[in-house]
Amino acid sequence: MTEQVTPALALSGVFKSYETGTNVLSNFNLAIQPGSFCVLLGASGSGKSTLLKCIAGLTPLDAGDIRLHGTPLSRKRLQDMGMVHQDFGLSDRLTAAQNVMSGTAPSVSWWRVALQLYSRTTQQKACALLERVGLTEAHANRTTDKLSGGQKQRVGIARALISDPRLILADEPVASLDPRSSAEVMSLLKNAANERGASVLCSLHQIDLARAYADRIIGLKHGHIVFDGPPDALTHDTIRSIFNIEASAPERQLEIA
Amino acid sequence: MSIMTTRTSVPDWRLRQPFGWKSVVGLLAILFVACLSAERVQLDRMAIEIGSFSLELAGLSEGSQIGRGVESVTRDMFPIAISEKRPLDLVEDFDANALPFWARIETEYVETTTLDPDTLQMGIITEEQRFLVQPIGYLVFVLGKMLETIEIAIWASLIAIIFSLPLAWLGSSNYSPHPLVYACARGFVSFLRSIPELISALFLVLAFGFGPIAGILALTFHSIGFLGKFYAEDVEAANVSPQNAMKAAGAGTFTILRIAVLPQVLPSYIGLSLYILDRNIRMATVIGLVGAGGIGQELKGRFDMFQYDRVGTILLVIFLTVVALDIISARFRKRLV
Repeated sequence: MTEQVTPALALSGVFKSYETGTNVLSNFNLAIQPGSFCVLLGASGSGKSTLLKCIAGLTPLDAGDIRLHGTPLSRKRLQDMGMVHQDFGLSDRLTAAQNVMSGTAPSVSWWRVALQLYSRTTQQKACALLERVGLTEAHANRTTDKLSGGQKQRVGIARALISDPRLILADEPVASLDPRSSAEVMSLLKNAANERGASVLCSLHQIDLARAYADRIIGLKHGHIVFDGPPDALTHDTIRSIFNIEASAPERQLEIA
Repeated sequence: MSIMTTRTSVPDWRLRQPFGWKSVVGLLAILFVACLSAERVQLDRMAIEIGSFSLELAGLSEGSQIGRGVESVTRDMFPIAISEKRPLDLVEDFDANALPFWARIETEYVETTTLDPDTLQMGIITEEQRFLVQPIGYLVFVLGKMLETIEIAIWASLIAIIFSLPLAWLGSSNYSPHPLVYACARGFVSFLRSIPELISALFLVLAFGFGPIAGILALTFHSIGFLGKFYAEDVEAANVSPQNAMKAAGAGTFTILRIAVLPQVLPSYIGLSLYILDRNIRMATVIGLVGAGGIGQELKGRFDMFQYDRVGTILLVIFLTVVALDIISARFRKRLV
């Protein structure tokens, strides 16, 4: 099969536990093929967020190896990754455009960061990206606290894309959005990633969204993979086991879960 | 069996009462200590004297100690001194062709009784003495001193703001490079905050001599102690979501602080800095009393020479300045925050 291709992201033997003593991940292995849209599906506390935090370098690993296109993860390599956050992670008093350009800040000289004075190219790129995610010039110059939730997440996606990442991480990107904005943001994320040939690893708890957008669904429960396959292979029984729902629960509930 | 049956038995729960006997005993103890303390600080005498002063004001009593004290000061304080009149021989570098702005020379004949060296008898000599009179000279001088006071406060605030920013970084638990650095930064800031301006000014005047340098430094030290603490606490309390986002993008400490923290804390920083400027202007008038420059130094000098009319001018200028600054800073704050 695709064994010869270097995975976009490869985790092997990852261990992570918190001080409270709970083992969130133990001996976790995962490989993401380039260009795929993978959804991590699981209930709260299943380890999805911890997994993404480990990959994004937000929390140190206890043990294990994470490789991005074959090279081990380092701070420099984080710039090959873009991340979309559940709570948007925008600096509210900066404008949408400044927030988007801040995605390049780690690789920009300090005085440009200090003065918030980005190069002409970066500015043009930010405008193009904001247009791509469906925002206008007026939005670009507005501080992000004056944008709606859906618009904020669009800015978040634009920021994740500005460093031309080959992998995009998304931690519950639509958890605080209404169903319509959720669908819009998800398709935007999928299409934008497709255009650039970037792979996406996105955590979700909405089964319908996972079914609609994923190429591959990875079901997580207590830090272990309990399902791994295309959306069609996701049966009601697997959903029940992922979300710990009693067998007697009506099937309709499973779709919304 | 109906579900709605009312139960006749009441559960024997104990609910927490708003206060119990312990609170009452505590309150009584506090009252007792307060009574002891009140006598130590002569609160009883204060009550008696204010009472007799009120009686005097109401016309029911002949006089009171407060009344006499207030009268002796106010009698000399009004009218306040606006003009300046100095004997010409005391004016340095006097040039009759280039008088100061809006000034004139007055000649007076002063009769003095002196001992005649030839006759060895007391005689009256009429001397011509010339004065330089500036109609608003003293007011202008005091306004100049007030300006100096404001300048002292502004410089102290500026220097304090500049030094507090790195201290806020070193003294914030989440961005300090090392716990030891954190402890040192916080300790240093607490130390600076613990010394009242008036006391540090007292020593700084010994080191730097009379004048504004001691004032600026004294105010700067205390302001750093204040701003360093509150700036750092703002950094610690800032929303972590944008900080994590920048961290995930691979940003270093400086970039995170600039992009994800500074915009958040800026309104609070401006508020704190305006407060410290406001406070420094008021404190700068006070620390002049120990010789650290500005209007306070002038006030202390005139007070010690019993020139209460000049003291009146100074107090009026201080009062008007503080009121004006209050209005200005309120407007400024509204626009910025």
